[in-house]
Amino acid sequence: MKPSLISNLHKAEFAHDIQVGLARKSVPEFDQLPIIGFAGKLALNIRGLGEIDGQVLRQVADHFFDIPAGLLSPVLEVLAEVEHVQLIKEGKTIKKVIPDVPNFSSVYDGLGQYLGTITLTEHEELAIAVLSELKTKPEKRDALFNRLGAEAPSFRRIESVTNEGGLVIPKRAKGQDILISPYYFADGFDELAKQAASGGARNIAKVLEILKKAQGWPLSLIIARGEINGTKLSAAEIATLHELVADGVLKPPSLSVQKTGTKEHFVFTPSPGQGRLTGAAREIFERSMALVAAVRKGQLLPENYRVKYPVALLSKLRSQKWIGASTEAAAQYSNLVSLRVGRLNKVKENWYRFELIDTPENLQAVDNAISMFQDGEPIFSGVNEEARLALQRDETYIQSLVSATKLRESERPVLDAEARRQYDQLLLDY
Amino acid sequence: MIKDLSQKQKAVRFCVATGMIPYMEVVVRYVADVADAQSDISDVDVLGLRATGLQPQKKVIFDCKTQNKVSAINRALWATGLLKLIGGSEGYVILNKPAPEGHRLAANSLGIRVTSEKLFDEFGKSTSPSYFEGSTYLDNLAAWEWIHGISKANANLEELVSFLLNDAPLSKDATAGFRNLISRMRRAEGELDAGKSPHLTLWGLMLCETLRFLSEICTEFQHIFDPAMEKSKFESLLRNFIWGGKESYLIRNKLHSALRSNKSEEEAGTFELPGWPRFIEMTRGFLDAPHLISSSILPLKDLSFRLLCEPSELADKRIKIELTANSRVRQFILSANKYLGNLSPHFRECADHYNKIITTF
Repeated sequence: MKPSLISNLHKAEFAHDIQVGLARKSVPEFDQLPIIGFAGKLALNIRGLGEIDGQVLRQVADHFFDIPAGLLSPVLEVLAEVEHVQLIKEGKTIKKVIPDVPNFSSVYDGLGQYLGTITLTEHEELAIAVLSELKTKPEKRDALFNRLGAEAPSFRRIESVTNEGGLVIPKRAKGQDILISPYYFADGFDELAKQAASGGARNIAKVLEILKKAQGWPLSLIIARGEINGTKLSAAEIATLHELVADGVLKPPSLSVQKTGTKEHFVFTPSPGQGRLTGAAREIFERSMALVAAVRKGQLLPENYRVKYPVALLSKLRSQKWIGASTEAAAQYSNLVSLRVGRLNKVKENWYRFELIDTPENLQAVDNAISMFQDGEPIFSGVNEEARLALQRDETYIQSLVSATKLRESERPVLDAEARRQYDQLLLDY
Repeated sequence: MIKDLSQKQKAVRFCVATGMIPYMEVVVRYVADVADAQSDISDVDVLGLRATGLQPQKKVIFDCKTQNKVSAINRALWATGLLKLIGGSEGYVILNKPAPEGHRLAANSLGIRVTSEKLFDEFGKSTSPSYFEGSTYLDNLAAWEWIHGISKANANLEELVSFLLNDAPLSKDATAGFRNLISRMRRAEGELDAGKSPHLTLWGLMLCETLRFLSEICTEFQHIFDPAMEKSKFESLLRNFIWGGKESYLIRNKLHSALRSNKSEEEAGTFELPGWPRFIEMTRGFLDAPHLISSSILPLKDLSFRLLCEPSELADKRIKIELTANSRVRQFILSANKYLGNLSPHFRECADHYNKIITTF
């Protein structure tokens, strides 16, 4: 395999992603990678907590973070080595864990430094390299294989491991094998595969990179001006963008522009996959996109008055929970009303005041929207609040959670005699 | 030489039993003294401090007198004045014999409890089992004498020792007190010897005062703090806060730049508190539970005195209970220890020693 150019910090981040995907699956070829991945996951979740009982941590780590009890000690030793925790031991047993995870720097800084002191196995390096390539775009399998210069058996093994972990899926398009990461792309796999097969992988990566810096940019403006926020796009890149939107890979929220009487689409990078964004978080993400689209409309396609400082406007909404009445509000924020982000209160003829519905989900959506303007992506804390609560309680609490889950697993509806008969009949008739 | 021993020991134990941090023989000076040589005003036999938690900091003085040279009410009137001077909230005058009821009631109306040693004893026993003899190392008079005597053996430590024993507990401004502590520690950095037990105890006292100042600083800073705050905003607010306001910081920064450019140093850089990046992280960590910082001080002070005493099972048991009373006690001690330990290579050995004590006790 060719030497990797990925920084240790990014390697630590990918270790985390790989471990989230693999969860409990054991890969014999992996040595230190799972430990680094678990360490990142654990550090994120214990940041800011007080002293944790060793026994409680063992159970919470197993239940919520899929860290097998046997692996917890080496994980904690790594965290202790990078000074993210202090351990209180009795003999070899870890009795208490005292978190000291820095608040203002990435947990991967320290873990990255640790990675610099150890040697990863070839399979581990390869898994990181594959994921790093597929984070920004789908890729032709053979092209990827050649570029990474890996041994064929190792590459096949990593393909199978990452596929099982739901990190990479293979697709066929135009007679070629394409690899896509559902961890970084939520849907539209066939369309993405088609694009990649036609040699558009580089274009996809480029378009998405530019889009990340200008989330929610209006599609008509991109096409008319051939640029996104000052960055020129080639004809091929614009065609790629067009297809990504048309194929539904990028699902832009739309708003109507009264002046022109048209519907305007606002383009975002694809939603993160299931591994990173689940259930309620996905709905919050949709609300964040709608917020960004609304503000972008005011900024770039105003009816009469322009929004000059988008982040300031959103920060005001975050702190005072409303935005001053204007004649623009009705057109700008109507989408947000249907998504239950806020209400429009009529102040006088044509003048509406937008008021935020003050729920934790909506506040999170505003925070995400601000983050999308500033960093190009919503805030992924990776923190499980339920687990943090369990870490601060005693052992009985986590035991009750674990047993409740087991109960749920065993509670399968039993078919009664009549239902069974009808079920059998159905199969016979089929 | 410490006098009225038994009463003072009881006062210290009373402090421990009620969760106050005890200080013995605290010299009172007037901060705005205009004379060339500073003169001492008086001393407090035992001072108890309840560090800032959900309630603001509270100072309690104990006046111990075995001889009956002055009448009970006169002692109470003197104690009232002293209380007012140091900004205390309550005082105890412990006498050999009970005072007339009228004196006691009059004193009580001034916030001074005049009591006899026997009655004080009964009162102490009823407050907590921790009042009993042997439940703390802080009533060990020999240990106090050792600490008071450190500066006799090494005059370069005098300023630091005197600050820790007298000025720090009476300081009325936590941010200024904290800055003074760091400044004195740095001046004495080359004098500390982790091989000497009294020096290790001294390190413990530095940690205690750091935590006590920070308990006050963080509980106040909490009112302008938002956990979602970004580092730049947090850093700027904290910097202005710790230097007593923006203006005060800017003046210092200008002076710093002027001095540096005068010495023709190429890059003056900005003026910061020593160990600033670690200080930011430590304070941010403390702000996760600012009201619990105070709970770490008493067991830590006891542990640092333990280094000078014969181990007592009863005291060890009490300290263990207090160290695990909530999930922040050890965490906050270790965090402050890490911050102070990183201020100078001379401090590292002491910090390592305490790290071991806290994680293995």
